[in-house]
Amino acid sequence: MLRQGSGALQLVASNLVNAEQQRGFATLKDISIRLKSVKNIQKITKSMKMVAAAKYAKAERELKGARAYGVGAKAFFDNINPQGDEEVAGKPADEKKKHLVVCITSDRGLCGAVHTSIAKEAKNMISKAAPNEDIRVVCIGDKSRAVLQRLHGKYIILSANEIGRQPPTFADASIAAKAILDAGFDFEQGTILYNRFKSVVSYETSKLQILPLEAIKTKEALSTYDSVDDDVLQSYAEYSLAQLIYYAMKESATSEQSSRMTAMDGASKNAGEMIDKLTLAFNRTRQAVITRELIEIISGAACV
Amino acid sequence: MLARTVSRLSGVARRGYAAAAAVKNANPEELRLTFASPDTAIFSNAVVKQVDVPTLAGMPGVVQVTTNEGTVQRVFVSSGTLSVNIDGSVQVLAEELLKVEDIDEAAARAELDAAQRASSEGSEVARAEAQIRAEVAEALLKAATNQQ
Repeated sequence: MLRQGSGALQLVASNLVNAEQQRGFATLKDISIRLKSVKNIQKITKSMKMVAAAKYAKAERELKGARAYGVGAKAFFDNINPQGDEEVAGKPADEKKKHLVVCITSDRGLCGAVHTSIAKEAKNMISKAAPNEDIRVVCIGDKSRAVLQRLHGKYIILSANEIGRQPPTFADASIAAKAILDAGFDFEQGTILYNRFKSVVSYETSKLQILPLEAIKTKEALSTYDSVDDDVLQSYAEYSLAQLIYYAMKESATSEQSSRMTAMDGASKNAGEMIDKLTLAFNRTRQAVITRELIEIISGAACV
Repeated sequence: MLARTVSRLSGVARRGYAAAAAVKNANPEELRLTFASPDTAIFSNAVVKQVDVPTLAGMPGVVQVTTNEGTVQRVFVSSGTLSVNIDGSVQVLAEELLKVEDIDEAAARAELDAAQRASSEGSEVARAEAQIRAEVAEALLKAATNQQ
């Protein structure tokens, strides 16, 4: 009966269990060691949840400003390219279309599926790419790189880390934007993959279109804008890239913290369940030990 | 200071464009302003009367917003982008912004001195950066003193 309570848990230390089984019932110590470690794990997940909650509150506060900023930055592109990416597809088929995908993740894990869903989307885009499409990936954050490196390493042209410990800043975004522009990949179409924050319990993996300078110049809608020359347009395109990356970083960071909060809440709950089960097993075992000792004493006494 | 005024959109040609575009916007006749820095938004898609932007070429200066009620807000911006779209929306996205009444004149002066000192030493890049800092500090001071 006591092995029912603890048997499923002890996969790692199975040889230890066998040794104990030979001696019969002495799993009391095993259970108490395990109980202690699960309790410690619960403490860690609980405090991680608290930290994530504090960071989430901050991130969400900051997102309000950043969202107005990001949506504002997007407005120009929505106006100039209202059809989204469909329009770009009308290029001659023999020419390779250069497509840049920027994955916005972070270095930190233990936050549910936020990073994997980004990496999955990137993988999806790579596998569904048209034959005349030349896709390159920029990984911001170690997590997306770790997932994509093994199978799709040849697509990665740039990766960055040291993101996720602190909330992302505009300086971070500027560094990323500059690196992308300096990478020597003259993309004709760009996509930023990020997790758009919806609420504490939900986020949506979304895409942001980026138009490089050359693509902006080809748009008809550009003629409706006043006092645009090459210089202004170039500054604007470069600065917009930083703005959009910043916005995507903010959204992703908020989604990540909220998702970590949920994940750690779940982990604490699971640890709690495990602790309950282990405590029950522990008490039963202790009871069994006492009963056995009593039986030994009584039957010993009866013999005399 | 070179002042460029983006006033309420009018004129038949413009109206035609706006009507043709009609991008999810209820009323393209209105001037809807988004005025934000990376961490704060002063206006978020708010209808205003007039926006005055110092230059087109990213010089630091004061952006002046006149709301529909006629109140005027003056905000200092370090640099950023301005776009006026055919759907009647205007985005002023600054890298840093500060309300003119919140400018600390003494701090701006100290910054100007420090930047001017730094602009004569170091590498070419460092000197250029210091010069930009000095320019911003100077513009800050100007904005602060003009207000009184």
